[in-house]
Amino acid sequence: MVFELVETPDCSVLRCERWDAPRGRWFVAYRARHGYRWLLGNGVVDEFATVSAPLFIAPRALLGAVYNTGISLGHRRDHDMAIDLGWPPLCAGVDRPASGDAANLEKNLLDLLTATGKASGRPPFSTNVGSHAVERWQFNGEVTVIGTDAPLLPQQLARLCDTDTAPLTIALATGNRVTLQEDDRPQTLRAASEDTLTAIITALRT
Amino acid sequence: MKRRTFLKVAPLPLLATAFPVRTTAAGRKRARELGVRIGRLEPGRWNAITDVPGVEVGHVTLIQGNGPLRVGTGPVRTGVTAIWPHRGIVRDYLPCGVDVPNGNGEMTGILQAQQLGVLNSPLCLTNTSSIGMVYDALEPLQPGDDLPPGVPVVGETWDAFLNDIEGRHVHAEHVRQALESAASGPVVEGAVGGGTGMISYGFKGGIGTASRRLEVESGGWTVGALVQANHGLRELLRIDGVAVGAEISDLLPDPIDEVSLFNSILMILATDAPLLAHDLQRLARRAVHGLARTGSISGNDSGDFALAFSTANRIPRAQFWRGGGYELRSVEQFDIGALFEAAAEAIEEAIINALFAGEDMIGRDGHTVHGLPVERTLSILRLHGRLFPVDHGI
Repeated sequence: MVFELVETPDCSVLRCERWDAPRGRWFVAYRARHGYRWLLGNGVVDEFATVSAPLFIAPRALLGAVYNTGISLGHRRDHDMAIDLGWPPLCAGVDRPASGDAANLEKNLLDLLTATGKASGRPPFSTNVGSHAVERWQFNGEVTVIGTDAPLLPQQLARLCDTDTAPLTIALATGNRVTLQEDDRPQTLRAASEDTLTAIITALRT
Repeated sequence: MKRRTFLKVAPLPLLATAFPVRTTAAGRKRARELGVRIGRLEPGRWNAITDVPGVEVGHVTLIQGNGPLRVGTGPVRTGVTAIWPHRGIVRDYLPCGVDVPNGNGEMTGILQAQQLGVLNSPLCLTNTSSIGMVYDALEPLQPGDDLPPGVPVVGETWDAFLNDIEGRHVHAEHVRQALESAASGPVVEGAVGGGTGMISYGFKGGIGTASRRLEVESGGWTVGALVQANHGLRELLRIDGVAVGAEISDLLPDPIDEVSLFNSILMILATDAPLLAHDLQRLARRAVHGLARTGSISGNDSGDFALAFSTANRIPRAQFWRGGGYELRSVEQFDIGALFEAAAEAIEEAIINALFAGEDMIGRDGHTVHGLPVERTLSILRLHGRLFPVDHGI
Protein backbone atom coordinates (compact mmCIF):
# COMPACT_ATOMS: atom_id res chain seq x y z
CA MET A 1 0.00 0.00 0.00
CA VAL A 2 1.16 3.48 -0.83
CA PHE A 3 -1.69 5.38 0.76
CA GLU A 4 -3.95 4.94 3.73
CA LEU A 5 -7.42 6.41 3.39
CA VAL A 6 -8.85 8.25 6.37
CA GLU A 7 -12.42 9.44 5.94
CA THR A 8 -15.12 11.47 7.56
CA PRO A 9 -18.47 11.93 5.83
CA ASP A 10 -17.17 15.18 4.37
CA CYS A 11 -13.48 14.63 3.78
CA SER A 12 -11.22 11.94 2.37
CA VAL A 13 -7.60 12.05 3.37
CA LEU A 14 -4.87 10.07 1.67
CA ARG A 15 -1.70 9.79 3.68
CA CYS A 16 1.45 7.80 3.24
CA GLU A 17 2.88 8.32 6.72
CA ARG A 18 1.82 9.19 10.25
CA TRP A 19 0.90 12.78 10.95
CA ASP A 20 3.96 13.20 13.21
CA ALA A 21 6.49 11.53 10.93
CA PRO A 22 10.07 12.78 10.92
CA ARG A 23 10.80 15.65 8.59
CA GLY A 24 10.75 14.93 4.89
CA ARG A 25 8.58 15.22 1.82
CA TRP A 26 7.59 13.30 -1.28
CA PHE A 27 7.79 14.15 -4.95
CA VAL A 28 4.41 15.05 -6.40
CA ALA A 29 2.94 16.42 -9.63
CA TYR A 30 -0.52 17.45 -10.70
CA ARG A 31 -2.47 18.26 -13.83
CA ALA A 32 -5.60 20.37 -13.89
CA ARG A 33 -7.91 20.05 -16.89
CA HIS A 34 -11.28 21.27 -18.09
CA GLY A 35 -10.99 24.47 -16.04
CA TYR A 36 -10.57 22.69 -12.72
CA ARG A 37 -9.57 25.28 -10.11
CA TRP A 38 -10.40 24.01 -6.62
CA LEU A 39 -6.91 23.26 -5.39
CA LEU A 40 -5.18 24.91 -2.42
CA GLY A 41 -1.52 24.46 -1.58
CA ASN A 42 -0.48 24.11 -5.21
CA GLY A 43 1.92 27.05 -5.15
CA VAL A 44 4.45 25.00 -3.24
CA VAL A 45 3.94 22.04 -5.57
CA ASP A 46 4.51 24.32 -8.55
CA GLU A 47 7.74 25.55 -7.00
CA PHE A 48 9.25 22.49 -5.35
CA ALA A 49 7.31 19.50 -6.74
CA THR A 50 7.04 18.09 -3.23
CA VAL A 51 4.46 17.68 -0.50
CA SER A 52 4.83 16.80 3.18
CA ALA A 53 1.18 16.80 4.23
CA PRO A 54 -1.62 14.34 3.56
CA LEU A 55 -3.83 14.94 0.52
CA PHE A 56 -7.26 16.25 1.46
CA ILE A 57 -10.29 15.85 -0.82
CA ALA A 58 -13.56 17.47 0.26
CA PRO A 59 -16.63 19.30 -1.02
CA ARG A 60 -15.38 22.61 -2.32
CA ALA A 61 -17.62 24.54 0.07
CA LEU A 62 -15.54 23.08 2.88
CA LEU A 63 -12.12 23.78 1.43
CA GLY A 64 -11.40 26.55 3.93
CA ALA A 65 -12.26 24.33 6.88
CA VAL A 66 -10.24 21.47 5.45
CA TYR A 67 -7.29 23.78 4.87
CA ASN A 68 -7.62 24.86 8.51
CA THR A 69 -7.34 21.22 9.49
CA GLY A 70 -4.16 20.85 7.50
CA ILE A 71 -2.76 24.00 9.09
CA SER A 72 -3.63 22.75 12.58
CA LEU A 73 -2.00 19.43 11.82
CA GLY A 74 1.08 21.26 10.55
CA HIS A 75 1.28 23.42 13.66
CA ARG A 76 1.01 20.34 15.90
CA ARG A 77 3.85 18.73 14.01
CA ASP A 78 6.00 21.82 14.10
CA HIS A 79 5.02 25.28 15.36
CA ASP A 80 6.86 26.91 12.47
CA MET A 81 5.27 24.56 9.90
CA ALA A 82 8.42 24.00 7.90
CA ILE A 83 8.00 22.75 4.38
CA ASP A 84 9.35 19.35 5.51
CA LEU A 85 6.87 19.17 8.36
CA GLY A 86 3.39 19.44 6.96
CA TRP A 87 3.09 22.79 5.25
CA PRO A 88 1.15 23.54 3.16
CA PRO A 89 -1.74 21.11 3.05
CA LEU A 90 -2.74 20.11 -0.47
CA CYS A 91 -6.52 20.33 -0.55
CA ALA A 92 -8.68 19.48 -3.57
CA GLY A 93 -12.34 20.39 -3.84
CA VAL A 94 -15.04 18.29 -5.46
CA ASP A 95 -18.50 19.31 -6.58
CA ARG A 96 -20.73 17.62 -4.06
CA PRO A 97 -22.66 19.05 -1.13
CA ALA A 98 -21.39 18.89 2.41
CA SER A 99 -23.31 16.19 4.17
CA GLY A 100 -22.93 16.69 7.85
CA ASP A 101 -21.59 18.77 10.63
CA ALA A 102 -19.18 21.08 8.89
CA ALA A 103 -18.63 23.10 12.06
CA ASN A 104 -17.00 20.11 13.73
CA LEU A 105 -15.18 18.89 10.66
CA GLU A 106 -11.82 20.23 11.76
CA LYS A 107 -11.98 18.69 15.23
CA ASN A 108 -13.26 15.34 13.99
CA LEU A 109 -10.71 15.16 11.24
CA LEU A 110 -7.86 16.13 13.55
CA ASP A 111 -8.92 13.48 16.05
CA LEU A 112 -8.97 10.89 13.30
CA LEU A 113 -5.67 11.90 11.77
CA THR A 114 -3.79 12.04 15.04
CA ALA A 115 -5.25 8.82 16.42
CA THR A 116 -3.36 5.59 16.14
CA GLY A 117 -5.13 2.72 14.48
CA LYS A 118 -6.17 1.37 11.18
CA ALA A 119 -7.28 3.58 8.39
CA SER A 120 -10.20 2.50 6.27
CA GLY A 121 -10.57 1.83 2.58
CA ARG A 122 -8.61 0.29 -0.21
CA PRO A 123 -7.81 1.77 -3.59
CA PRO A 124 -10.23 0.93 -6.39
CA PHE A 125 -7.21 0.04 -8.49
CA SER A 126 -3.93 -1.38 -7.27
CA THR A 127 -1.31 -3.53 -8.87
CA ASN A 128 2.35 -4.35 -8.70
CA VAL A 129 4.81 -3.43 -11.40
CA GLY A 130 7.93 -5.40 -10.71
CA SER A 131 8.65 -4.72 -7.08
CA HIS A 132 6.67 -1.50 -7.03
CA ALA A 133 3.13 -0.86 -5.86
CA VAL A 134 0.89 1.32 -7.98
CA GLU A 135 -2.50 2.65 -6.86
CA ARG A 136 -5.18 4.80 -8.33
CA TRP A 137 -7.84 6.45 -6.22
CA GLN A 138 -10.80 8.38 -7.58
CA PHE A 139 -13.04 10.88 -5.87
CA ASN A 140 -16.38 12.04 -7.18
CA GLY A 141 -15.27 11.55 -10.79
CA GLU A 142 -13.24 14.75 -10.47
CA VAL A 143 -10.04 13.94 -8.65
CA THR A 144 -7.71 11.06 -9.39
CA VAL A 145 -4.74 10.32 -7.16
CA ILE A 146 -2.05 7.98 -8.41
CA GLY A 147 0.45 6.67 -5.91
CA THR A 148 3.49 4.51 -6.29
CA ASP A 149 6.45 3.52 -4.19
CA ALA A 150 8.64 3.57 -7.29
CA PRO A 151 11.30 6.29 -7.17
CA LEU A 152 9.74 8.52 -9.79
CA LEU A 153 11.03 12.05 -10.29
CA PRO A 154 8.63 14.99 -10.73
CA GLN A 155 8.75 15.00 -14.51
CA GLN A 156 7.97 11.29 -14.50
CA LEU A 157 5.05 11.89 -12.15
CA ALA A 158 3.78 14.52 -14.55
CA ARG A 159 3.75 11.84 -17.24
CA LEU A 160 1.73 9.59 -14.95
CA CYS A 161 -0.79 12.40 -14.63
CA ASP A 162 -1.02 12.47 -18.41
CA THR A 163 -2.40 8.92 -18.40
CA ASP A 164 -5.58 10.25 -16.79
CA THR A 165 -8.39 12.49 -17.97
CA ALA A 166 -10.02 13.60 -14.72
CA PRO A 167 -10.34 17.33 -14.08
CA LEU A 168 -7.57 17.00 -11.48
CA THR A 169 -4.93 14.30 -11.36
CA ILE A 170 -2.31 14.12 -8.63
CA ALA A 171 0.58 11.67 -8.77
CA LEU A 172 2.82 11.03 -5.79
CA ALA A 173 5.81 8.75 -5.35
CA THR A 174 7.23 7.54 -2.05
CA GLY A 175 10.36 6.09 -3.61
CA ASN A 176 12.42 9.09 -2.58
CA ARG A 177 12.38 10.89 0.73
CA VAL A 178 13.43 14.48 0.13
CA THR A 179 14.71 16.29 3.21
CA LEU A 180 16.36 19.54 4.10
CA GLN A 181 20.03 18.84 4.69
CA GLU A 182 21.34 20.56 7.78
CA ASP A 183 24.89 20.53 6.50
CA ASP A 184 23.80 21.64 3.01
CA ARG A 185 25.37 18.57 1.43
CA PRO A 186 23.60 17.07 -1.59
CA GLN A 187 21.35 14.13 -0.88
CA THR A 188 21.26 10.99 -2.94
CA LEU A 189 18.03 10.31 -4.76
CA ARG A 190 17.06 7.35 -6.88
CA ALA A 191 15.37 7.46 -10.27
CA ALA A 192 13.30 4.87 -12.05
CA SER A 193 14.28 3.82 -15.55
CA GLU A 194 12.15 4.62 -18.56
CA ASP A 195 11.26 0.92 -18.71
CA THR A 196 9.84 1.06 -15.20
CA LEU A 197 7.91 4.22 -15.96
CA THR A 198 6.54 2.72 -19.17
CA ALA A 199 5.47 -0.40 -17.29
CA ILE A 200 3.62 1.69 -14.70
CA ILE A 201 1.92 3.73 -17.41
CA THR A 202 0.90 0.53 -19.20
CA ALA A 203 -0.50 -0.89 -15.97
CA LEU A 204 -2.52 2.25 -15.35
CA ARG A 205 -3.93 2.15 -18.86
CA THR A 206 -4.90 -1.51 -18.67
CA MET B 1 7.29 43.82 -38.07
CA LYS B 2 7.13 47.45 -37.18
CA ARG B 3 7.99 48.00 -33.58
CA ARG B 4 6.62 51.11 -32.06
CA THR B 5 8.04 53.41 -29.48
CA PHE B 6 6.63 52.03 -26.29
CA LEU B 7 7.04 54.82 -23.82
CA LYS B 8 6.54 58.54 -23.79
CA VAL B 9 7.51 60.30 -20.60
CA ALA B 10 7.98 63.85 -19.54
CA PRO B 11 11.49 64.93 -18.56
CA LEU B 12 12.33 63.89 -15.04
CA PRO B 13 11.24 66.74 -12.79
CA LEU B 14 13.51 67.76 -9.99
CA LEU B 15 10.64 68.15 -7.61
CA ALA B 16 9.10 65.17 -5.94
CA THR B 17 5.34 65.37 -5.70
CA ALA B 18 4.03 65.69 -2.17
CA PHE B 19 0.92 64.02 -0.82
CA PRO B 20 -0.13 65.82 2.32
CA VAL B 21 -2.75 63.26 3.39
CA ARG B 22 -1.47 61.14 6.28
CA THR B 23 -1.81 57.59 5.11
CA THR B 24 0.38 55.64 7.48
CA ALA B 25 -0.80 53.85 10.57
CA ALA B 26 1.63 55.84 12.67
CA GLY B 27 1.10 59.14 10.87
CA ARG B 28 4.56 59.06 9.33
CA LYS B 29 5.30 60.73 6.05
CA ARG B 30 5.44 58.71 2.88
CA ALA B 31 8.66 58.33 0.97
CA ARG B 32 7.65 60.73 -1.77
CA GLU B 33 6.65 63.39 0.76
CA LEU B 34 10.19 63.24 2.08
CA GLY B 35 11.81 63.69 -1.30
CA VAL B 36 12.36 60.09 -2.33
CA ARG B 37 11.53 59.66 -5.97
CA ILE B 38 11.25 56.18 -7.39
CA GLY B 39 11.48 55.89 -11.16
CA ARG B 40 10.49 58.45 -13.74
CA LEU B 41 6.74 58.13 -14.11
CA GLU B 42 4.23 60.25 -12.24
CA PRO B 43 1.92 58.80 -9.60
CA GLY B 44 -1.83 59.16 -9.59
CA ARG B 45 -3.76 61.40 -7.25
CA TRP B 46 -3.40 59.21 -4.15
CA ASN B 47 -0.28 57.38 -5.21
CA ALA B 48 -2.20 54.28 -4.29
CA ILE B 49 -3.86 51.26 -5.84
CA THR B 50 -7.13 53.13 -5.36
CA ASP B 51 -6.12 55.51 -8.14
CA VAL B 52 -7.52 52.83 -10.42
CA PRO B 53 -11.22 53.68 -10.53
CA GLY B 54 -13.39 51.18 -8.73
CA VAL B 55 -10.63 49.70 -6.59
CA GLU B 56 -11.29 49.94 -2.85
CA VAL B 57 -9.16 48.87 0.10
CA GLY B 58 -10.08 48.18 3.71
CA HIS B 59 -8.10 46.96 6.70
CA VAL B 60 -8.92 45.36 10.00
CA THR B 61 -5.98 45.52 12.37
CA LEU B 62 -5.77 43.28 15.41
CA ILE B 63 -3.31 44.36 18.09
CA GLN B 64 -3.90 43.00 21.55
CA GLY B 65 -1.86 41.92 24.54
CA ASN B 66 1.80 41.81 25.43
CA GLY B 67 4.16 39.36 27.02
CA PRO B 68 4.77 35.65 26.58
CA LEU B 69 3.14 33.74 23.76
CA ARG B 70 0.05 31.84 24.84
CA VAL B 71 -1.39 30.09 21.82
CA GLY B 72 -5.01 31.09 21.35
CA THR B 73 -4.68 34.13 23.60
CA GLY B 74 -1.91 36.25 22.16
CA PRO B 75 -0.14 38.56 21.91
CA VAL B 76 -1.97 39.39 18.70
CA ARG B 77 -0.29 41.40 15.94
CA THR B 78 -2.17 40.57 12.78
CA GLY B 79 -5.19 41.41 10.66
CA VAL B 80 -6.71 41.27 7.23
CA THR B 81 -6.61 43.60 4.25
CA ALA B 82 -9.41 43.44 1.71
CA ILE B 83 -9.26 44.70 -1.86
CA TRP B 84 -12.32 45.09 -4.00
CA PRO B 85 -11.31 45.20 -7.68
CA HIS B 86 -14.84 46.55 -7.99
CA ARG B 87 -17.81 45.98 -5.73
CA GLY B 88 -19.57 43.68 -8.17
CA ILE B 89 -16.63 41.37 -8.75
CA VAL B 90 -18.50 38.19 -7.85
CA ARG B 91 -20.99 38.89 -10.65
CA ASP B 92 -18.90 40.77 -13.18
CA TYR B 93 -15.56 39.03 -13.50
CA LEU B 94 -12.30 40.71 -14.45
CA PRO B 95 -9.40 39.32 -16.47
CA CYS B 96 -6.36 38.57 -14.35
CA GLY B 97 -2.91 37.01 -14.50
CA VAL B 98 -0.43 35.77 -11.94
CA ASP B 99 3.30 35.32 -11.62
CA VAL B 100 5.08 33.45 -8.87
CA PRO B 101 8.79 34.18 -8.62
CA ASN B 102 9.06 31.79 -5.68
CA GLY B 103 6.14 29.70 -4.56
CA ASN B 104 6.92 28.83 -0.97
CA GLY B 105 3.64 30.33 0.10
CA GLU B 106 -0.06 30.38 -0.55
CA MET B 107 -2.39 32.41 -2.67
CA THR B 108 -5.65 30.64 -3.25
CA GLY B 109 -7.23 31.12 -6.63
CA ILE B 110 -4.02 31.08 -8.64
CA LEU B 111 -5.07 27.85 -10.32
CA GLN B 112 -8.26 29.57 -11.41
CA ALA B 113 -6.23 32.48 -12.75
CA GLN B 114 -4.06 30.05 -14.70
CA GLN B 115 -6.95 27.91 -15.93
CA LEU B 116 -9.65 30.50 -16.60
CA GLY B 117 -7.82 33.84 -16.61
CA VAL B 118 -10.43 35.56 -14.47
CA LEU B 119 -10.81 37.05 -11.02
CA ASN B 120 -14.23 36.64 -9.41
CA SER B 121 -13.64 37.39 -5.75
CA PRO B 122 -12.41 40.24 -3.62
CA LEU B 123 -8.81 39.69 -2.58
CA CYS B 124 -7.78 39.32 1.03
CA LEU B 125 -4.29 39.40 2.51
CA THR B 126 -3.64 37.93 5.93
CA ASN B 127 -1.29 35.68 7.89
CA THR B 128 -0.36 32.11 6.96
CA SER B 129 -2.48 30.28 9.47
CA SER B 130 -5.61 32.31 8.78
CA ILE B 131 -5.89 31.38 5.11
CA GLY B 132 -8.66 28.84 5.70
CA MET B 133 -10.64 31.15 7.96
CA VAL B 134 -10.55 34.00 5.45
CA TYR B 135 -11.27 31.68 2.54
CA ASP B 136 -14.37 30.44 4.35
CA ALA B 137 -15.46 34.00 5.03
CA LEU B 138 -15.23 34.96 1.35
CA GLU B 139 -16.91 31.87 -0.01
CA PRO B 140 -20.50 32.90 0.92
CA LEU B 141 -20.14 36.07 -1.16
CA GLN B 142 -20.50 33.98 -4.31
CA PRO B 143 -23.98 34.01 -5.85
CA GLY B 144 -25.97 30.96 -4.96
CA ASP B 145 -27.48 30.26 -8.34
CA ASP B 146 -26.88 27.44 -10.80
CA LEU B 147 -23.77 29.00 -12.34
CA PRO B 148 -20.36 27.82 -11.11
CA PRO B 149 -19.11 29.82 -8.13
CA GLY B 150 -15.84 31.71 -8.11
CA VAL B 151 -12.76 30.84 -6.10
CA PRO B 152 -11.91 33.12 -3.15
CA VAL B 153 -8.50 34.75 -3.43
CA VAL B 154 -6.55 34.83 -0.18
CA GLY B 155 -2.83 35.44 0.12
CA GLU B 156 -0.64 34.97 3.16
CA THR B 157 2.66 35.88 4.70
CA TRP B 158 4.16 34.63 7.98
CA ASP B 159 3.91 36.91 11.03
CA ALA B 160 4.83 34.41 13.77
CA PHE B 161 7.81 36.44 15.02
CA LEU B 162 5.45 39.07 16.44
CA ASN B 163 2.06 37.40 16.41
CA ASP B 164 0.35 34.38 17.96
CA ILE B 165 -0.08 32.94 14.49
CA GLU B 166 -1.20 29.53 15.67
CA GLY B 167 -4.05 31.17 17.58
CA ARG B 168 -5.70 32.16 14.28
CA HIS B 169 -7.19 35.39 15.53
CA VAL B 170 -8.60 36.55 12.19
CA HIS B 171 -12.27 35.57 12.02
CA ALA B 172 -15.12 35.94 9.58
CA GLU B 173 -16.37 39.15 11.17
CA HIS B 174 -12.98 40.76 10.62
CA VAL B 175 -13.10 39.84 6.94
CA ARG B 176 -16.58 41.29 6.67
CA GLN B 177 -15.45 44.49 8.42
CA ALA B 178 -12.49 44.85 6.10
CA LEU B 179 -14.72 44.35 3.06
CA GLU B 180 -17.40 46.72 4.32
CA SER B 181 -14.99 49.45 5.38
CA ALA B 182 -13.09 49.38 2.09
CA ALA B 183 -12.98 52.68 0.28
CA SER B 184 -11.31 54.52 -2.53
CA GLY B 185 -8.93 57.40 -1.80
CA PRO B 186 -5.88 57.27 0.49
CA VAL B 187 -4.82 53.84 1.71
CA VAL B 188 -3.40 53.48 5.20
CA GLU B 189 0.03 51.86 5.10
CA GLY B 190 2.38 50.12 7.45
CA ALA B 191 1.32 47.97 10.39
CA VAL B 192 -2.29 47.64 9.33
CA GLY B 193 -4.52 44.83 8.15
CA GLY B 194 -2.70 41.78 6.91
CA GLY B 195 0.57 43.68 7.19
CA THR B 196 0.31 44.30 10.94
CA GLY B 197 2.93 41.81 12.06
CA MET B 198 5.14 41.72 9.00
CA ILE B 199 8.89 42.36 8.68
CA SER B 200 10.69 43.57 5.58
CA TYR B 201 14.45 43.77 5.16
CA GLY B 202 14.73 43.39 8.91
CA PHE B 203 12.64 46.51 9.51
CA LYS B 204 8.98 46.75 10.27
CA GLY B 205 7.17 45.98 7.02
CA GLY B 206 3.53 45.60 6.15
CA ILE B 207 1.17 47.23 3.71
CA GLY B 208 2.45 49.66 1.10
CA THR B 209 0.87 51.12 -1.98
CA ALA B 210 1.73 53.37 -4.94
CA SER B 211 0.55 54.12 -8.45
CA ARG B 212 1.67 55.40 -11.81
CA ARG B 213 -0.33 57.34 -14.35
CA LEU B 214 0.78 57.27 -17.96
CA GLU B 215 0.80 60.31 -20.19
CA VAL B 216 -2.19 60.62 -22.49
CA GLU B 217 0.05 59.82 -25.47
CA SER B 218 0.88 56.52 -23.79
CA GLY B 219 -2.77 55.72 -23.20
CA GLY B 220 -3.41 57.72 -20.03
CA TRP B 221 -3.83 54.49 -18.09
CA THR B 222 -3.20 54.08 -14.38
CA VAL B 223 -1.37 51.19 -12.74
CA GLY B 224 -1.79 50.79 -9.00
CA ALA B 225 0.12 48.50 -6.67
CA LEU B 226 -0.43 47.23 -3.18
CA VAL B 227 2.00 44.97 -1.34
CA GLN B 228 2.08 43.05 1.88
CA ALA B 229 5.82 43.19 2.47
CA ASN B 230 7.36 40.53 4.69
CA HIS B 231 10.50 39.79 2.76
CA GLY B 232 14.12 40.63 2.23
CA LEU B 233 17.54 40.54 3.84
CA ARG B 234 18.72 43.75 5.47
CA GLU B 235 22.09 43.86 3.73
CA LEU B 236 20.39 43.62 0.33
CA LEU B 237 17.95 46.52 0.84
CA ARG B 238 18.19 49.20 -1.83
CA ILE B 239 16.15 52.38 -1.92
CA ASP B 240 16.14 54.14 -5.27
CA GLY B 241 19.25 52.18 -6.16
CA VAL B 242 21.16 53.12 -3.01
CA ALA B 243 22.41 50.26 -0.84
CA VAL B 244 20.77 51.61 2.30
CA GLY B 245 20.60 48.22 4.00
CA ALA B 246 24.34 47.76 3.88
CA GLU B 247 24.76 51.07 5.68
CA ILE B 248 22.28 50.36 8.49
CA SER B 249 23.50 47.16 10.05
CA ASP B 250 22.01 47.80 13.50
CA LEU B 251 18.33 47.92 14.49
CA LEU B 252 17.87 44.27 13.59
CA PRO B 253 14.92 42.26 14.91
CA ASP B 254 15.49 41.01 18.42
CA PRO B 255 16.14 38.17 19.11
CA ILE B 256 17.74 37.85 15.68
CA ASP B 257 18.20 34.08 15.88
CA GLU B 258 14.43 33.52 16.04
CA VAL B 259 13.41 35.49 12.99
CA SER B 260 13.18 34.30 9.43
CA LEU B 261 14.33 37.17 7.27
CA PHE B 262 13.59 35.81 3.83
CA ASN B 263 9.86 35.22 4.13
CA SER B 264 7.44 36.50 1.54
CA ILE B 265 5.67 39.27 -0.29
CA LEU B 266 2.25 39.57 -1.86
CA MET B 267 2.04 41.99 -4.78
CA ILE B 268 -1.27 43.13 -6.26
CA LEU B 269 -1.40 45.18 -9.44
CA ALA B 270 -4.52 46.90 -10.72
CA THR B 271 -4.91 48.79 -13.96
CA ASP B 272 -7.66 50.43 -15.95
CA ALA B 273 -5.81 49.61 -19.15
CA PRO B 274 -7.78 47.05 -21.13
CA LEU B 275 -5.55 44.01 -20.90
CA LEU B 276 -6.49 40.39 -21.38
CA ALA B 277 -5.40 37.61 -19.06
CA HIS B 278 -2.27 36.60 -20.94
CA ASP B 279 -1.04 40.19 -20.95
CA LEU B 280 -1.94 40.60 -17.30
CA GLN B 281 0.27 37.61 -16.62
CA ARG B 282 3.04 39.53 -18.37
CA LEU B 283 2.23 42.62 -16.28
CA ALA B 284 2.35 40.54 -13.09
CA ARG B 285 5.79 39.32 -14.11
CA ARG B 286 6.99 42.95 -14.10
CA ALA B 287 6.12 43.20 -10.44
CA VAL B 288 9.20 41.09 -9.89
CA HIS B 289 11.35 43.80 -11.47
CA GLY B 290 10.09 46.31 -8.93
CA LEU B 291 10.66 43.80 -6.15
CA ALA B 292 14.18 43.13 -7.34
CA ARG B 293 15.04 46.82 -7.41
CA THR B 294 14.49 46.94 -3.66
CA GLY B 295 17.02 44.17 -3.20
CA SER B 296 14.98 40.97 -3.09
CA ILE B 297 16.20 37.86 -4.83
CA SER B 298 12.99 35.94 -4.02
CA GLY B 299 14.73 33.65 -1.58
CA ASN B 300 14.06 29.96 -1.43
CA ASP B 301 11.94 30.44 1.69
CA SER B 302 9.82 33.11 0.04
CA GLY B 303 6.25 32.86 -1.05
CA ASP B 304 6.30 35.68 -3.58
CA PHE B 305 3.06 36.04 -5.49
CA ALA B 306 2.04 38.72 -7.96
CA LEU B 307 -1.54 39.06 -9.19
CA ALA B 308 -2.58 41.63 -11.78
CA PHE B 309 -6.10 42.51 -12.84
CA SER B 310 -7.67 44.95 -15.24
CA THR B 311 -10.88 46.82 -14.48
CA ALA B 312 -11.46 47.81 -18.09
CA ASN B 313 -13.39 44.75 -19.17
CA ARG B 314 -16.18 43.48 -16.98
CA ILE B 315 -17.30 40.02 -17.93
CA PRO B 316 -20.83 39.16 -16.80
CA ARG B 317 -20.66 35.73 -15.25
CA ALA B 318 -23.66 34.46 -17.22
CA GLN B 319 -21.84 35.29 -20.45
CA PHE B 320 -18.59 33.90 -19.10
CA TRP B 321 -20.05 30.51 -18.30
CA ARG B 322 -22.81 30.15 -20.87
CA GLY B 323 -24.31 31.53 -24.01
CA GLY B 324 -22.83 33.02 -27.10
CA GLY B 325 -19.74 34.72 -25.69
CA TYR B 326 -18.78 38.28 -24.96
CA GLU B 327 -16.61 41.12 -26.21
CA LEU B 328 -13.40 42.45 -24.71
CA ARG B 329 -11.30 45.51 -25.44
CA SER B 330 -7.55 45.10 -25.50
CA VAL B 331 -4.51 47.33 -25.75
CA GLU B 332 -2.43 46.29 -28.70
CA GLN B 333 0.37 44.14 -27.36
CA PHE B 334 3.16 46.29 -28.65
CA ASP B 335 1.71 49.28 -26.81
CA ILE B 336 2.01 47.93 -23.30
CA GLY B 337 5.67 48.61 -22.61
CA ALA B 338 4.81 51.73 -20.64
CA LEU B 339 2.49 49.69 -18.46
CA PHE B 340 5.34 47.32 -17.67
CA GLU B 341 7.47 50.20 -16.49
CA ALA B 342 4.58 51.59 -14.47
CA ALA B 343 4.04 48.21 -12.82
CA ALA B 344 7.69 47.86 -11.83
CA GLU B 345 7.87 51.41 -10.48
CA ALA B 346 4.60 51.16 -8.56
CA ILE B 347 5.62 47.91 -6.89
CA GLU B 348 9.04 49.29 -6.00
CA GLU B 349 7.56 52.42 -4.46
CA ALA B 350 4.85 50.46 -2.66
CA ILE B 351 7.53 48.40 -0.93
CA ILE B 352 9.49 51.51 0.00
CA ASN B 353 6.29 53.12 1.30
CA ALA B 354 5.66 50.08 3.49
CA LEU B 355 9.12 50.54 5.00
CA PHE B 356 8.75 54.29 5.55
CA ALA B 357 5.40 53.65 7.28
CA GLY B 358 6.83 51.16 9.75
CA GLU B 359 7.35 52.04 13.39
CA ASP B 360 8.91 49.96 16.16
CA MET B 361 6.71 47.09 17.26
CA ILE B 362 7.01 44.73 20.21
CA GLY B 363 5.16 41.48 19.83
CA ARG B 364 4.95 38.09 21.45
CA ASP B 365 7.64 37.12 23.93
CA GLY B 366 8.96 40.66 23.74
CA HIS B 367 10.13 40.15 20.19
CA THR B 368 11.02 43.53 18.76
CA VAL B 369 11.14 44.88 15.22
CA HIS B 370 12.35 48.39 14.51
CA GLY B 371 10.93 50.81 12.02
CA LEU B 372 13.13 52.17 9.27
CA PRO B 373 15.15 55.04 10.78
CA VAL B 374 13.88 57.77 8.51
CA GLU B 375 16.40 60.50 9.17
CA ARG B 376 19.36 58.14 8.76
CA THR B 377 17.86 56.78 5.58
CA LEU B 378 17.33 60.25 4.16
CA SER B 379 20.91 61.18 5.04
CA ILE B 380 22.20 58.18 3.13
CA LEU B 381 20.03 59.01 0.13
CA ARG B 382 21.16 62.62 0.26
CA LEU B 383 24.76 61.54 0.32
CA HIS B 384 24.19 59.57 -2.87
CA GLY B 385 22.32 62.38 -4.58
CA ARG B 386 19.00 60.57 -4.47
CA LEU B 387 16.98 62.96 -2.34
CA PHE B 388 14.93 65.56 -4.17
CA PRO B 389 13.27 68.76 -3.04
CA VAL B 390 9.63 68.34 -2.21
CA ASP B 391 7.09 70.52 -3.93
CA HIS B 392 4.41 71.03 -1.31
CA GLY B 393 2.27 72.91 -3.79
CA ILE B 394 1.28 69.82 -5.73
